[in-house]
Amino acid sequence: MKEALATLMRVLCLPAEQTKFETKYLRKVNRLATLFFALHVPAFVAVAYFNDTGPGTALLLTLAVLVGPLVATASFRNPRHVSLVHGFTSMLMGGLLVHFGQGPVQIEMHFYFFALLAMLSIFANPMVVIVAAGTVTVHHLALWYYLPKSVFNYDAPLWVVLVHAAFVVLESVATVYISRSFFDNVIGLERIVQARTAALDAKNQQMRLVMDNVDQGLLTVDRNGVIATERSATVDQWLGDCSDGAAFGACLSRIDPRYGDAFDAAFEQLQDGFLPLEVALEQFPSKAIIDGRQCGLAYTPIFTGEEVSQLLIVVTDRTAVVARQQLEQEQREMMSLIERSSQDRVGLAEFLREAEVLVRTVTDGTCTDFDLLKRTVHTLKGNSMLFELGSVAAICERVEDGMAESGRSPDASLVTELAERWQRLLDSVVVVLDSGTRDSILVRPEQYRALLERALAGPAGSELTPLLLELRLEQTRDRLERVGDQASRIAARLGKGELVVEVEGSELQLDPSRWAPFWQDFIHIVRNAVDHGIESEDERLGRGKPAAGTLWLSTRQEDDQFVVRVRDDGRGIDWSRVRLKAEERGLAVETRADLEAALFFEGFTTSEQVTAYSGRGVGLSAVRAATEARSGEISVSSQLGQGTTFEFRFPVSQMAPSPQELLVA
Amino acid sequence: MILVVDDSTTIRHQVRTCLQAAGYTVIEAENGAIGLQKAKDHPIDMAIVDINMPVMDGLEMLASLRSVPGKQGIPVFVLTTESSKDLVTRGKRYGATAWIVKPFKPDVLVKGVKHVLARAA
Repeated sequence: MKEALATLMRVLCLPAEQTKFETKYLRKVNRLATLFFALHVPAFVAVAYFNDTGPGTALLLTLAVLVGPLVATASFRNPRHVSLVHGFTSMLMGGLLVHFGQGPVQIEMHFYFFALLAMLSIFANPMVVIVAAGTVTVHHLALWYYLPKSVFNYDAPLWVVLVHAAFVVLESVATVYISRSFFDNVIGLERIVQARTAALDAKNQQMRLVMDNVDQGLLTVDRNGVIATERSATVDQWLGDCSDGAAFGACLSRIDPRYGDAFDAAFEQLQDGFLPLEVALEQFPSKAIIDGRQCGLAYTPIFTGEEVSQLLIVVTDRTAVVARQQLEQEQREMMSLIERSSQDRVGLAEFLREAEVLVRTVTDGTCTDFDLLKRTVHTLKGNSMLFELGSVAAICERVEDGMAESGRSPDASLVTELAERWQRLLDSVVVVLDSGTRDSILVRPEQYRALLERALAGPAGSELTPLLLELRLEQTRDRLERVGDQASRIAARLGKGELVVEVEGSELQLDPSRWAPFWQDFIHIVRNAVDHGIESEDERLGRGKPAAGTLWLSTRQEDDQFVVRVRDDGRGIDWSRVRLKAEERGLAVETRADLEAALFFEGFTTSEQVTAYSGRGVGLSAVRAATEARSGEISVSSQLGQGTTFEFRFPVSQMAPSPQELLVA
Repeated sequence: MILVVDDSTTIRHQVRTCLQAAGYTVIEAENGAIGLQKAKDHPIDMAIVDINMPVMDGLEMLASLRSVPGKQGIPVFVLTTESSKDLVTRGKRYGATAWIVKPFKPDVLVKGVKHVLARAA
């Protein structure tokens, strides 16, 4: 009951707040109502005149009732209150009409009440209807009682009055409902719109908050490549002001013309529609360095129907991720170097020393010989891979590709990258290796013992000298074993399976500093043998060879010659193919010696495929250069299907300097 | 049959490997001049051509190819490390169908080739 009453009150009473629209509307309707009632004055005088009910009284009384709305309009600030007075006035006017309409149609004059009650819904206020209904009820009952002639032209009993009242109640209920619904849906529309706008604003506000604070560049571009207004604040921070219909390509160009160019080109190709969408999207620039940030660019098409109408572009700062990945890789590489240093300290130190020279050749900018640069980068790449320095090898690879593509010296930014990476590597490796020992001579216990024994036996310069000399020298067997290890690693990485390495060493000794560059290039031969010479396991078995390939490495002294030999039992050299390729290159092909020479020619390769290890035709020419620098000669013998032997012959005098030479050095 | 013209063996090898894996026959040339000759000699369905090459560059080859009777309509992909609006405009003038930025993903290249060959057929 209480709830029903509350609901009723909620329907009858309007919310206190008035919108501007409602105020304006009510003022207008109130004015019209006052005018409407003012017109009652002449009408009622006429009714009184024709029914002979006193036009003078009619004039006075109608004017008196009209005072109500006029005073209300002048004094009430709230137009709703004026409306209430109009509700009251309307029913008084009805009373006057029935009174002055006494005559044959007096009963019909009662229609006025019902017509007016309905018309009051124009105020969109149920209370106006209630006031009117109340007024007419009280008024009707009172007059019926005190002045029945004013109401009925016959002796109407009370139940007739109650019938009138029943109609009023019925109409009032309907009118109240209409008024309220009129208010809620039409007059209060502004309120609804306001509420929705506010909700939308709040949503926009949240969206804006996201867009202002997200640390990614989020934007969309239309068919013309123009950036939409709604974009994250980051876009303008990174790309500069992008307002006023700026095109994304133009904004990118401000950072680097190449980025803008690449974007515009890809955008045009996307719109041409020759390529499938995902292929066309792949052609967009995916990386850009913006203010030193390493940014990733991702593109998502937005469709309208079947067509791409917009492109969502997300620019992400990946600097931290890239840096972390780089750091992780560098740490992994460091770990492997540490491991290597515990197994083969000398080998590692030597690699670092050699590599440093190579890095310097590439990075110090003094080398203008394109082929030498290419060779150097290639060697550095190969050596780095042997020591599992993937990051260095990767940079070398990019330098190589760039040089091959452009035919010019490496890109400055890549060179810087290489120099920086190498420096970081050295900085950390020096800590591990303790730089002090890098240029020192290691003395094995048995050497120390021999020296001590001779020294104790008395001063014998001629006996001590060779021992002291030996400290500086390297056993060729040690070297060959190291080369053999590298060969095994290459074989493993190339998926060649097991490789048998036979080292036929001797007690020969070489000066490591004099021979280091040779061994470095010598690796090319070994690499070629493993990569191109040794067949796959299946192929070998098919040819009736043992599954594992064998590599023989040997050094020996023959009279006054120092001989280094590499032999493999692989597929051998296809001399006809060498002839074909040499002819293509315009090289001499008359004799076998010509063909052998062609093998070592700069950039010569018979390989159709380049692997990370070999195939670019750079290696053999480097070996030739290193051999000739030590007054050596190379000979090749190879039988198709049987294997290949490379033999290097040097004068014995090249092996090590004399003690006198050492002192001078 | 697809003709791949690039002076880099690495790139040729890459393109060949992924196209052969997709079932295409591939022939190769290491510069524009050889490429043009091979295009004339073989019934190729499409060409993939590098821009920077010795002897004859990709655009030059493309221009010559377009004047060879029967070869005008062959789709040609231009391979390039650095794409630029200027390059694309010139490429289009010479009749390039599309260009692909190096390094490319093998599956993306194959998709592009399939699509273009299907359209040409």
